[in-house]
Amino acid sequence: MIWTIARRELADQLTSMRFLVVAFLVVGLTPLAVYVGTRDYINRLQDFNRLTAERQTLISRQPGKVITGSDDLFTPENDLLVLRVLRPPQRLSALVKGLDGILPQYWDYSSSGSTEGPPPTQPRRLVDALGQLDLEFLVRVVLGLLAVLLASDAVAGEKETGTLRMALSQPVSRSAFICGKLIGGMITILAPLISAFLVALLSCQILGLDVARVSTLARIGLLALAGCIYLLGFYALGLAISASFAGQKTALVVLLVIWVCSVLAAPPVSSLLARAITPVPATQTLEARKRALADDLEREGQEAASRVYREITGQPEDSVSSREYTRNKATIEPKIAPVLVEYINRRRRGIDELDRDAARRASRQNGIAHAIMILSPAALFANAASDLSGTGDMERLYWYQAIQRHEAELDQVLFEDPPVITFRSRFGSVTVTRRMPPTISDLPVFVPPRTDTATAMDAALPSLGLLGTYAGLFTLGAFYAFSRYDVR
Amino acid sequence: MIEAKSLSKRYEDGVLALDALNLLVNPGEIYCLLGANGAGKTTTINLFLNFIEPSAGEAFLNSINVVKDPLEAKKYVAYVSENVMLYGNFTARQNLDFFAKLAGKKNLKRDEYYRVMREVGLPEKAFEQRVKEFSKGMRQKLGIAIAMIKDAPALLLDEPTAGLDPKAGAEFLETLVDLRKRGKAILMSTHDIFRAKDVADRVGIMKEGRKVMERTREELRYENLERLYLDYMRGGIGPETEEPKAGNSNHKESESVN
Repeated sequence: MIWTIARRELADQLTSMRFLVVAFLVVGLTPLAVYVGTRDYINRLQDFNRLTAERQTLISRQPGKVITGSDDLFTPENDLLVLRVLRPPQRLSALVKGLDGILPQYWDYSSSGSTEGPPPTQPRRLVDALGQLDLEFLVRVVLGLLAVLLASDAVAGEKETGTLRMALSQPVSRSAFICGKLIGGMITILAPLISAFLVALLSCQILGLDVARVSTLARIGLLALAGCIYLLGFYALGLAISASFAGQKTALVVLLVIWVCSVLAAPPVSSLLARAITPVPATQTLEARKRALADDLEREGQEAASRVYREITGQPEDSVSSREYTRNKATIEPKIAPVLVEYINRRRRGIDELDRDAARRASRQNGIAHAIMILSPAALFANAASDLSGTGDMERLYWYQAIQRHEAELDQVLFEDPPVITFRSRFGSVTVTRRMPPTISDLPVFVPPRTDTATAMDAALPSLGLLGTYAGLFTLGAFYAFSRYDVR
Repeated sequence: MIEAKSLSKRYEDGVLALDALNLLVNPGEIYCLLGANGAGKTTTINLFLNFIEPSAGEAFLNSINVVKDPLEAKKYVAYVSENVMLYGNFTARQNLDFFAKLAGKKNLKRDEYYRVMREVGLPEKAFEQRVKEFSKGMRQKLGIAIAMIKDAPALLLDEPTAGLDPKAGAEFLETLVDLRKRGKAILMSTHDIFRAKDVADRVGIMKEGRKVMERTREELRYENLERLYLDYMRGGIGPETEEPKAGNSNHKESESVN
């Protein structure tokens, strides 16, 4: 009985013009989206390989080079380039771009903490900033719209045409009828979804992006599953709305409003509200505060250094003659070094505090934005899809955690108690070696965040769980609404 | 057998659409319900189909209570509406196949569908034609074909001849007479007094949710149905009081005809 209804629904929907138009649009746009994504991924991979090679060359040229962690307070040094941590692009960003093109390409470390490199791709045109065409977009926006269009008249449309009365005059329970509708509608929507994924896989292989690996295929499979759950949710919601209104046009308008709110409005609104509730200083503001702090402490450091001169020579630094300096050098330099270390550490702690405060605010802001976003199934699907592809918020969080861990390790080895202090005086650059500096091989090795399928699955699980809950609730809603539907 | 016992329906807005209807349609009998729009004819049919629940009273199809066991009751009834609406993208045979399967008739052969469509007078070329290209008369015939393929003992027809041209209407009624011969209990709501008079074994007139009059074919030989109907509609005649006998179609009527 259910299958009879499902087959009829399937046959009716598969031959409808709106289905054919949207399905061809999705399947036709998929190779284009994959082509753009793959080309972008390959460009970023080439950049990553180039930067990695540069760094390796630098290291291999001077295998025993010591890293002084030399203070850049007074004398900036460039040898810190070897401490650079590079982030490789994610292979699946070819299908789901997510944040992969926005996260920094690399991080640099110094006694001032970590500094982000530029993102690998930056929008150059307005249209770049408006949205990105990828497989996730096609599923979330275009197939989401198809689900809404197909579901809007599934019940109300049959009531309007009168076929609902004919069908329910037969010994068919309402639950069997709606179940058949749900199954038929879902198979209809899954047809373009699965076709799009197959076309995407084929396009990846043709474009030279090897995805025929078990782990990658498993992720793509999970991605398709997330798409199924999302579309099931939207279709079930559509059925519930369709079974709540007598007219198909009213149901369609209500569903389109919900679709616009969920797919188009929810992400910017959640971001806007989160920014209004918990403002986070802009990167430039934060950098300006750090610079101001560093300038203040540099002044203080110089004043403290002057006091050392005064203590030893009995006169301020400006008045100390070259001969006098040379005579007292052995006394001045060891005394100035710990004073400067104190100021370097104060600066590091101050900058750390600014960073932590900004991170706390950003985390709170993200929490608020996520709390609002979970109201939108479309946002949940975007989260789940990007997390499964390694291009989502969780990927960013894992990288920032790894960067902070590495920063703490470097602090211990290099920055908290600098082995070498270099500073400028009126008499030239002065280097004070306080202990034996570590060589490159002594430095802690950066451990990148795990990017295996299990981690991706863990990251995506909350969004997938909520998406499944929505789909379940909407399905129950459809059954409930139809059980009370006035079929007259 | 189609039976209503003190069947009433009051809608949520307080409107009493049906007031204590007693009705019995026996096998091999055509019962026509006449009445103006809003008289309660369609409400009666909706109640038998369990599309709405009664406020009071009971409705039975083949002695099965339609509220207590609606799915079982619907096995014994076929329904043809005023405007049979089918799936336009499907052919006549595909529609017939779909509704036959819903009715529990599986594994029917193509010939079986063709036979029924021939019986109701659909032209051969229409069998595999999309229903959206059908005229209203053809759709009504297909509706009857759907009812026939179900082979239910009871038929509910909601103004099935409305809008049909005279020829199509006459053909439709011929099919009904044929179904009566096969022992079907047929309840038909209609505005068409003349056709009701032609085919009905009994006629009931409804007004404002109440059955105000009932006549057998025999009684109508001596009375003018058109005159009776118009008199009742004009409000010149008060309702007859009924003393229904369960399972008996011969209602005692204490006439109050002026």
